[in-house]
Amino acid sequence: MSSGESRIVAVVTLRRDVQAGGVPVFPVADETERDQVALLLAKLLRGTIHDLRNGSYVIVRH
Amino acid sequence: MEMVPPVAAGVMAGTLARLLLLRRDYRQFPSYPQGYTIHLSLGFIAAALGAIAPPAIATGDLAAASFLALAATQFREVRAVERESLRNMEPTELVPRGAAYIEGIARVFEARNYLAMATALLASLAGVVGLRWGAWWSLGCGLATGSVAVALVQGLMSGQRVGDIAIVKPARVEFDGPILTVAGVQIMNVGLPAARERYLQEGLAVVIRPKDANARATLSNLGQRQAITHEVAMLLGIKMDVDEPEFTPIARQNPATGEVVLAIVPLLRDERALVRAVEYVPVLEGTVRKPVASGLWPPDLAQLEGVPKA
Repeated sequence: MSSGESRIVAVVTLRRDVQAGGVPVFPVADETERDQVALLLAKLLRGTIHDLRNGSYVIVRH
Repeated sequence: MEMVPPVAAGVMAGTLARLLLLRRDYRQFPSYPQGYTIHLSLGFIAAALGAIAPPAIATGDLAAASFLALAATQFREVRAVERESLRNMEPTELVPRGAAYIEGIARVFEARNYLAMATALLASLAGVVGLRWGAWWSLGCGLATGSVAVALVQGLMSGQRVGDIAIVKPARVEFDGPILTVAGVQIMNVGLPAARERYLQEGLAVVIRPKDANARATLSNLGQRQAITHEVAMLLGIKMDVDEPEFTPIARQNPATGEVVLAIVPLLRDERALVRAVEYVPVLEGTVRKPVASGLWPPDLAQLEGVPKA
């Protein structure tokens, strides 16, 4: 529980049609790579990985 | 010189009261020699202030009694210091205590000094009364009254615990897609399959079911819930580090039933221990709500469905 708002710090996605808009987007080839990249980014950014269930993970700092 | 026995009895009783209240603190705070020294010294000062008031009045020195007012200011300071030091340590806690819990702890520390002072005052008063039969009688009266006061203080200051206002039961950790779910309440979105696996393999969960509408309102307070997660993580340990925020325990309430659910990946994976840890969490003074006492609630709604009357 932290004060302040949650913020999306990165998006890791399998989709090719996702446009970058204010947040860094990391396109990946498959699910294994998505999990790896998301984990590395989450550790770097101290964020939490959330699954949007449309092929994208968002990394959110709460 | 003749006032030595009542003052001695008062100071002893007051300091003893503070010492016992310090020992009763299981919350690992203060758990270090410096903390003990600070609080015992303050307790001693409080006891001395309380103990000199009755003899001062007995000898006609009314001005000395006004020192008690000084003490009150001093102890408000204790609360401020306690609050500030806990707040400063907050960012270093994996699972923070939360503002409500800090406020509660600070308040308790202030109150304990008043109790030490009141105990000393009573003991000293009895000592002054006993003086007419001689110094030893005075000391005896003072110490006897002091012991009774200490016993009373111990009984009075144990507040309610979550186990008193709610029924705590183990539950299963489940996932609805990526959503961590306990007893049908969605807690959070855990994105990584490996993290979900860890929750399923090593996680534990509980359902905290309020016994009545008052308890439900109390448990809906975020500070009370944060205190529960902090205590549970402290007592059972928690398998996480700062770069794994998805394992931070969160307590969520089911808006329909008032049940609060909690999932955690503890170091000590023992369901009974988890239930007991939750039951043992103090109900914070600042979060107590009593909407039923207003008389607005019909009895059937005030008593939650399916919970037997106490």
